Amino acid sequence: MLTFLARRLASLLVTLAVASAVIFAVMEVLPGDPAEIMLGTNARPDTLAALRANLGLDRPATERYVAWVSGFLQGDLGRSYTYSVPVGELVAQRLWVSLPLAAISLLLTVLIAIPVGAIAAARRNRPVDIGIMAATQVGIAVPNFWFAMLLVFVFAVSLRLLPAGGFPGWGAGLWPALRSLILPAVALALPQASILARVMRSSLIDTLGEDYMRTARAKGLSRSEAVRRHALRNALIPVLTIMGLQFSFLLAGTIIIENVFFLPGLGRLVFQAITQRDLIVVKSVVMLLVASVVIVNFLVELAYAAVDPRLRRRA
Amino acid sequence: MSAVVAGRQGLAARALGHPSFLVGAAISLVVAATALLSFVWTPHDPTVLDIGRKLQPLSAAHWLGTDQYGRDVLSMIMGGAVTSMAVSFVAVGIGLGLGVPLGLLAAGRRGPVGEAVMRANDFVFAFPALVMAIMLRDIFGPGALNAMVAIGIFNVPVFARLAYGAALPLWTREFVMAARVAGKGRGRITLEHILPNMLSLIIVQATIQLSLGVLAEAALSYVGLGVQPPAPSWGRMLNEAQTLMAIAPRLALVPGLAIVVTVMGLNLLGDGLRDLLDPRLARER
Amino acid sequence: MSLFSIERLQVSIYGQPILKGVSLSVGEGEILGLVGESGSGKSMTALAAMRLLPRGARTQGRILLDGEDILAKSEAEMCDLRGRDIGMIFQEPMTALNPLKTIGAQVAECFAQHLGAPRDECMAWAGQVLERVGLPPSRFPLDRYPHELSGGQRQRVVIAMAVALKPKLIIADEPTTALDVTTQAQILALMRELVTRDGASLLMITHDLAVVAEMADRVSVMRDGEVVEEGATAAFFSGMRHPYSRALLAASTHVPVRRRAGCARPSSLPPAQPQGGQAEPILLAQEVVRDYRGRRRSLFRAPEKHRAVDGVSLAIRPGESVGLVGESGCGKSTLARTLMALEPPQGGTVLFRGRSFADFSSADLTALRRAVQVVFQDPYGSFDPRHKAGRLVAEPLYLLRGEIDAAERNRRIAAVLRDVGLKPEDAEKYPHEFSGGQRQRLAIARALITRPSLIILDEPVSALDVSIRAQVLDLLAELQAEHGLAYLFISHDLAVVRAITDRVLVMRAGRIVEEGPTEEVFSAPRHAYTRELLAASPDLSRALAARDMRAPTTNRAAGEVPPGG
Repeated sequence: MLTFLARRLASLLVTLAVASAVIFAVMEVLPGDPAEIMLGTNARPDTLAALRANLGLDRPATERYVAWVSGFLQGDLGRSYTYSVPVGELVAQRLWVSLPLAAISLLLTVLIAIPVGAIAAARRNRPVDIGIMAATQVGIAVPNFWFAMLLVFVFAVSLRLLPAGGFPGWGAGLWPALRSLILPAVALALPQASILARVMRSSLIDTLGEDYMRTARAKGLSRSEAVRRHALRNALIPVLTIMGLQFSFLLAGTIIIENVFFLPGLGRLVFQAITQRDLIVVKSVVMLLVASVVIVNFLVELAYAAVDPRLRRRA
Repeated sequence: MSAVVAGRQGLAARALGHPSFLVGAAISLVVAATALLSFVWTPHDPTVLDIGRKLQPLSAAHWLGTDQYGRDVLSMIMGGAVTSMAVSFVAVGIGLGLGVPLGLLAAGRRGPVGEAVMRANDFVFAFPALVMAIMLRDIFGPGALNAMVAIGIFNVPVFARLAYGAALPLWTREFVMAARVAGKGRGRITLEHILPNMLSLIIVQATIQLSLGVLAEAALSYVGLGVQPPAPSWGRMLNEAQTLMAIAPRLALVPGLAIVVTVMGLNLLGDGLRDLLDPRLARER
Repeated sequence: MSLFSIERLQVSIYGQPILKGVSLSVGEGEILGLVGESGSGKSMTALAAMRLLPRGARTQGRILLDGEDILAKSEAEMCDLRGRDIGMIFQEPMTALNPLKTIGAQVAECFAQHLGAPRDECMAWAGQVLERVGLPPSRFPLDRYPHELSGGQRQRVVIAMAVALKPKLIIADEPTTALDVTTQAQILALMRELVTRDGASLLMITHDLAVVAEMADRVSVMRDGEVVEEGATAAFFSGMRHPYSRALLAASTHVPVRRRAGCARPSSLPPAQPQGGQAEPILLAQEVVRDYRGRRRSLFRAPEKHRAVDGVSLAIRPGESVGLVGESGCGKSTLARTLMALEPPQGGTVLFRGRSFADFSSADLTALRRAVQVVFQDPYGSFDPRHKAGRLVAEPLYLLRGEIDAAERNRRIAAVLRDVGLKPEDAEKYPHEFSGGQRQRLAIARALITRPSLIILDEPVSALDVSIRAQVLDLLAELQAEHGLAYLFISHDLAVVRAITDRVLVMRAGRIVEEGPTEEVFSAPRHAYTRELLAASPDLSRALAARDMRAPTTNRAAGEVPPGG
């Protein structure tokens, strides 16, 4: 188990190192000089040079890469060109919106998908199953940002039940803050849950056909007891895989949904940074996003090992 | 196998009896035809602004009305179909063209080469299409090309993993051993036995990636990383309609439904193809 | 009055009749052997008795346990009955256990389900049952997972679950088919012991007449969903009446007639020494070593190596038939792949007509491939399902590209198809249109088409039913005589190897432990492992002889076949 952990951890670190180099390299070859963009094209050359020196842009690329990475590791993400505040602070602030949003929608996804998929599998080819399958077929096809717009129209504009957008901040109290995250989270969760419910259904159907299910029935377990004690956990393994893969969609979805609801999260930050050519912010947020995908996949692998003893090796 | 063996007629007969395949194929054909038609004819020019005719309701002249700049919505939807199809087809092309050979190479070589290819794949997987689009925006400039490349790169590991996963067990099959004993090399075996035996899987996955491509293009255009004005795009139409939800919800409903119908059509087509092309797998197991 | 009886059982699945009026009975403490080839409906009979038939199944008739009709019971009553009154053992131990639960928990579940006892108590009982089936918790802790056990050990766990509550009836569906012979012998002994000790009845389903002869008190033979004959074992074997039973017996004990190449006269005696005793070997292996990389135990240590083939030397001369026997995982298939130059050896050399593989040019490799062809075990997996038979059979002609034209190609395809007993028109068919036996003939045709001097046969008849197996063995013997072929015949089945080879090598854990002329090795084995293998292999005549030795007390009159059977 320990070697398993160590090996996974090593490969995680290598991946992150390579990712940081790639992100840095791509951002390096970008045309356009941040200093020039900040000061405008008709800035005086000596002011430009001064700003460049100030930003460290005159140093060689490798040196800047090392500085960036070591800064990153110490939590120092540099200074935003446009906001003139440490990027770390900026990101931390925004994370408090994006992270809860992602977590709530993930929770919703799982809470919807697993029971719905299980019911469909249990009632295979009956009306309930056919209805669920049709609904998920639509759910998969709905773009989450469009769904978000519809939710706003119905629940905020017409019914006035929930806010249409904006975020009061956690300082305004738990409920007002949560209230403004409900619609975005639902908009994110339903399409994802549609996919996951289908995976859960087919995985459970596969599991029900396994030999050990027959063994369990031969022991005297009723159909539902056998499903509960022997099928569910086995069926969750493929579901876990898809959840790991879905995470990057969830992340992308969060970024986009924040724009629909004007939520001050990482998504808004990164789009503002792009239009303002605040490269250091873009670079850091991208790195953060990639790192979270890699880390989540690492956690999914650990979850595998927890669920499946075949992957835990006694070293 | 029966799909291939029973001959084309058998396949055609089963296709005609498969409702989800028929519905999916019909929708996909309609969308494709609409896109093609827009090259030669649209009711109006979707790029011409005419503020005087803004926000017109449905009428004989404008079947789906006009938007806040007076553009004809039906014409924009037709033009948007071109964008949507073009971006997702090219993206799938990139994914197929790079991913499948890489996966086949990794499975055929195994050892360090295969390991390296698959590691690189895992790595690319860590960059969601959106993040890729953000990174590449300044290289290609925001536009259709950026969307194509970003979604295409995301498709590469999808197809590489699929091809690798399908090819590995095929390599241990006895008929592949027999081909080796018949003196055939890796490349020839890959072309003669491995690739044809996974073709149906690849076709099904390509259909699914097409539908994901339509969704991704819409999302990228919605946030301004994809197609730029004046080229019509469903995603950007939604962006422009957002502030008018209260006054003219039609402007948001129409492009949204266009996306939903197209994606559903492609997904149904994919499911249908899986059922039609795959009974072989179910039968052999 | 029998404990368990099935009366005129009919089962259809989605309207397709599977069982057409099966009747049989098992007395108290009795072992009934239910014999039949694949598709005869014997497994469906077992599942019907458990009321665990697949979806779409409709049942008619009666199944009586202790005089009560199982088919009339409610599902809740069935749940009480399964595992408590009837225990079941399945064919495939690798998949019969839940991979995510410990063996202790899975066995304990039987007690929890039927006795509702607290967890600790159930676990303690589970330990006792596992001890009874030969898995003492001191050596096999209850928290082991199935993947940590071998196939035989897993089958013991399945047996433990079946016998946990001392049911009156145990149904075993091909319980040893997936196991090696030595393991099979142990499992059969264990089952016999448990049944005798608990006084339970056993319905033993198998395709193997020898197993029945060893185990059963009475025999029922099934074919196409019907019982065609039944009787007490000894009486059954001495006086079979139904032609199918006789055919089954003949096929099970079949020894193909082998002629020497060139001799027209058949001789039942194996040749004393193959003609090419001094001839140059086609293939000569010297101290061949083949390693596989095992799993990495630690980040810093190199992954451990698994030695699949360990210093094997052998020679195959023109026209001789060499057997290679051993249990699964002993390295026989790995050795075969090395001999075919599909994988390089890590040590030692293989010489083809005196030339080492290591010095091979591509022309040498082509020459080797033309001279040494192969037939694999799986008649379903050895053909690309997308190609027609003609193209599949002709695939090795790739080795002769440029040398033969299309006309010659077609001539050869027709010739080899005729050689193996198929028709030239069959070239236009797809593999799925052939039966298992016909596919194996196709595989042989493919091996013949380059006119090789040696064919490596890797378990060529193991996946076939006995009657088909006999026909394929006859074909192989005939082809050998006709074309002067040499065979390397790889099998786990001693009877088959004995029937068709001149010389035999016994392999165990990567090493050759014994070799010599086949008859000599089989009649007077020198190595302990060979003796063990021979003793473990079910042998019909030996089993019947042993049965005669035992007091013939249970030789009741053979039961009559029920009407319509």
